[in-house]
Amino acid sequence: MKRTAPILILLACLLWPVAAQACSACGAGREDRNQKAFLSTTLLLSFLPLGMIGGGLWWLNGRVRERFPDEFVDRDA
Amino acid sequence: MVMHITDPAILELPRRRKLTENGVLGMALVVFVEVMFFAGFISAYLIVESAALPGLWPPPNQPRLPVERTAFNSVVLLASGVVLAFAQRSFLRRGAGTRRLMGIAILLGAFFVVFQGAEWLALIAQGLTMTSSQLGSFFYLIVGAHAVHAVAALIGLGFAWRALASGRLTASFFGAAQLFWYFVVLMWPVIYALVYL
Repeated sequence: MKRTAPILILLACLLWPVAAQACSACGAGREDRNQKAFLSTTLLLSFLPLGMIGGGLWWLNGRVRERFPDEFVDRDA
Repeated sequence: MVMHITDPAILELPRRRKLTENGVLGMALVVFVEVMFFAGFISAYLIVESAALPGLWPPPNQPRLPVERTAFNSVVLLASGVVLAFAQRSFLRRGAGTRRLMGIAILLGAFFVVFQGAEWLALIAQGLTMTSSQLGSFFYLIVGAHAVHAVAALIGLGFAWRALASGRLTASFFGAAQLFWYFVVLMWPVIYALVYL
């Protein structure tokens, strides 16, 4: 079992690129322009929500500092 | 058994301070979802557009979208957002001109929606329909979804305007209505740039 495990892992790794073809950004675009559209929209849909969450946290941080400057004074003292 | 709090230290607790109004926070979450809703539509549109054969987008047998007239209408919508920002400043200062500014913003927004409706009628008469082509399907889906949001936001602003007239407008409601309108205003240039240009 100890000898066969690395071989099985290696085979699984070899199968990965085939699985990646199921990803629309990797395999669906037949032409360069179409491939770029898939890639750019995948990036948009991946990072837009993260950017909005990050922006919300950044705003929240600024708002806390502005509205509650003395909020943690007792705790930090 | 009824308990009465008599401890002066408890009775004199300061009111809970808020980071933002409840309505604004709730609307921010709605806007987050709506941004992703439009991002999904726009992504699908870009994929279909990129898959078209060279020279075949927009489809040759379909009317051209009214780029110049819609550019003018876009300026009207942006102006509505700017006027509403002035209305908010006036509201915070309890200025007398808030209601007038809000009214102007609502009228500009209503002009945008009516103008878009007129453009739609012209395009349908020229043969661009939901089923005439992929351009037509995406155009009415994306621009139509935006128009529905614009109408909903205008209704919200209308309620805010009425509440202001009777002295019942809260900062929470006004902030929420305002945030939704800003979303409608700022989403439009993105749609215009991607669909019309």
